[in-house]
Amino acid sequence: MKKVVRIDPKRIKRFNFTSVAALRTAVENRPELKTNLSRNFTEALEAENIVIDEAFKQKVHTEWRAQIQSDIKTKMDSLPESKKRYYSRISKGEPLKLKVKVNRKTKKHIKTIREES
Amino acid sequence: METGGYDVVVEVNETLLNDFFKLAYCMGQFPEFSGVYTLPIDDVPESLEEFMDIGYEVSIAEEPSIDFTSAHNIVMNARGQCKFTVLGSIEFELEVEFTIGVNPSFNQSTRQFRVEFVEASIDDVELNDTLHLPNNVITKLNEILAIAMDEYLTEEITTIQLSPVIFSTDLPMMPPGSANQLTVGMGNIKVLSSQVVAAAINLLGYTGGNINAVTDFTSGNHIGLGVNEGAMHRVYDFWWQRTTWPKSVTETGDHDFDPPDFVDFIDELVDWVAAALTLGLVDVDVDIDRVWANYGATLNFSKFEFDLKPGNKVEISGSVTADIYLRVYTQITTTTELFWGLWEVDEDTSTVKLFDLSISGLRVDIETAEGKVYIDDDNQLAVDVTELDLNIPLNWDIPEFLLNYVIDWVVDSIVDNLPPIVLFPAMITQAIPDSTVTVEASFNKLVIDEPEALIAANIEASGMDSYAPYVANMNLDSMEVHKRDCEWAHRIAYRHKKYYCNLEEALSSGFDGCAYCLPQHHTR
Repeated sequence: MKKVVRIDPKRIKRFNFTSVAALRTAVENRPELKTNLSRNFTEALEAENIVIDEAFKQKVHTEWRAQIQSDIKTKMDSLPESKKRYYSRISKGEPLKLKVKVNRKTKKHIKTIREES
Repeated sequence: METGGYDVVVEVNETLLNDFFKLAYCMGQFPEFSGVYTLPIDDVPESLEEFMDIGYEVSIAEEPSIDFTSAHNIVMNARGQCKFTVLGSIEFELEVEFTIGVNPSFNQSTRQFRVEFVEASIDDVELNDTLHLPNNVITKLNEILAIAMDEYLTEEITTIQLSPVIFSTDLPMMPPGSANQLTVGMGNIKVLSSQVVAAAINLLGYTGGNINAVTDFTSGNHIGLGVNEGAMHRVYDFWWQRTTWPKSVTETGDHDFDPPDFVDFIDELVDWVAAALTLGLVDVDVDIDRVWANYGATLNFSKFEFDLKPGNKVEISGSVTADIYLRVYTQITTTTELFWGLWEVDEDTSTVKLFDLSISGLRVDIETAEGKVYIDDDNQLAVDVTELDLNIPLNWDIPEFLLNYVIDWVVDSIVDNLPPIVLFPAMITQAIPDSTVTVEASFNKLVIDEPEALIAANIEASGMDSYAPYVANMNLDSMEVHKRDCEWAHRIAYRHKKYYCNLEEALSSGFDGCAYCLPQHHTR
């Protein structure tokens, strides 16, 4: 599998990396900064007095993870029920109630959601 | 309840007992028996004492048969041959028909039906009386014969095993040692009808049951075996406590997702990766090479509860405790060198870990499951689980394509690793102890009534030929019968060989005795 995808920078803006908010504004006004970041991302950040320490990494990670969870919710909310049979129950805090029909020969066991009576 | 409250009831048909009598006869379990009877006459001069001894040799001329009497007793009919030697060298030969009282019993250690001979009585005697013996002598010989045959059948032979091993005491996947075998206790025995005798047995120290409540469930088959549900629970509990079957199983795997799997999330996946790489500061083209997951689960199974239902069904419940992990990765290539090693970005493989989830002690309830009781390839009474209702309180907030995969995998792992439910050990084991004879059981009936399982089977033995003392040549140019060790017997083509346990049967089938090994029966 190989799928080439062009990143839309506007979409990435929803990741609210507060540690680099000022830098993001600076990039828009200073094209050479963007080039420097492309050439050596870490050095360019440090040149802008951004200290890449554990606290920085953790903060960025937390913000990244939060956005992923938000994206999942947004996307799943937009999908029809047929495409989120498990997620729907989990998001409501309910256990998955499955009926499993066993097929010993093929080992393809058929699972269906047991509807609440 | 046809098993009368006993753990196990074994029923055997008269036909099978007679088949095994034939086997016993063929295997030489009725050997020739000889002895000396001394006439009880007082004050015999020393020089005449040797003439007071009457020597006898007794043998069974053909395989005995067994009969169930109308009074629900069992008798064995046998035709014996007896040779007397009197006055030192004078020989008399008699053929005699006996009826022997038989006590059926069940051998707890071999789990075979057997009969014990208790009393022999003479029905008819044919004497080759070339010497025209006076009646009082014949009467005396009859008395001696009765004593000899009684001693032969009640002291020399005493018991004959008359069935295959009805069930094993070995359960599957158990550690070695007698402490891990089922213990068998005798309950009672009863002749149920003019054809069937039943032995009631208890397991693992249980004492209970009423022999008068036991009924015939053989349905015309050679053997019936009834197992009470209480016994099944005891056997299963015993097995579960001791089995080497892994109650805890760890499974791992990995899976590459194809784009159709995550089509709904393709933009999000790209964004998540790009955000991790650039913090939104740099434009980049990304090639998504792979999206895959590593996952694993340790499943700890608890002992199931089960309940027999009509229609060979069983209801099961229980639970599985699971420790599960899931790691999801995306491997990418970019046109710019952006890998800066901030977090979860592997510069060498260009891999971003998107999810790293784990949960411990997740209790998956098997709310109810349905199974079918069946006899497996090893003749064990087992349960095949056909349907389960599972409750899985997994709370992972991840895209549906990942949930779909991991839940399906966990459920498959649970189902495929379900410990067996062992209800009863192997029934009618193939080997006959102390012989090369084997039996094949055709199970013709398995009926689950709520409190018990009733099984009936026919038995076919093979390998008896290796014990037959006579072999006939069916080649129409020969049609002779030989002793097994006759050199001419070895020259018979395999396809022309027919084995006989009984010479008279071979002769009456049209075979002539071999001139070398059976000259007394050679007539051509």
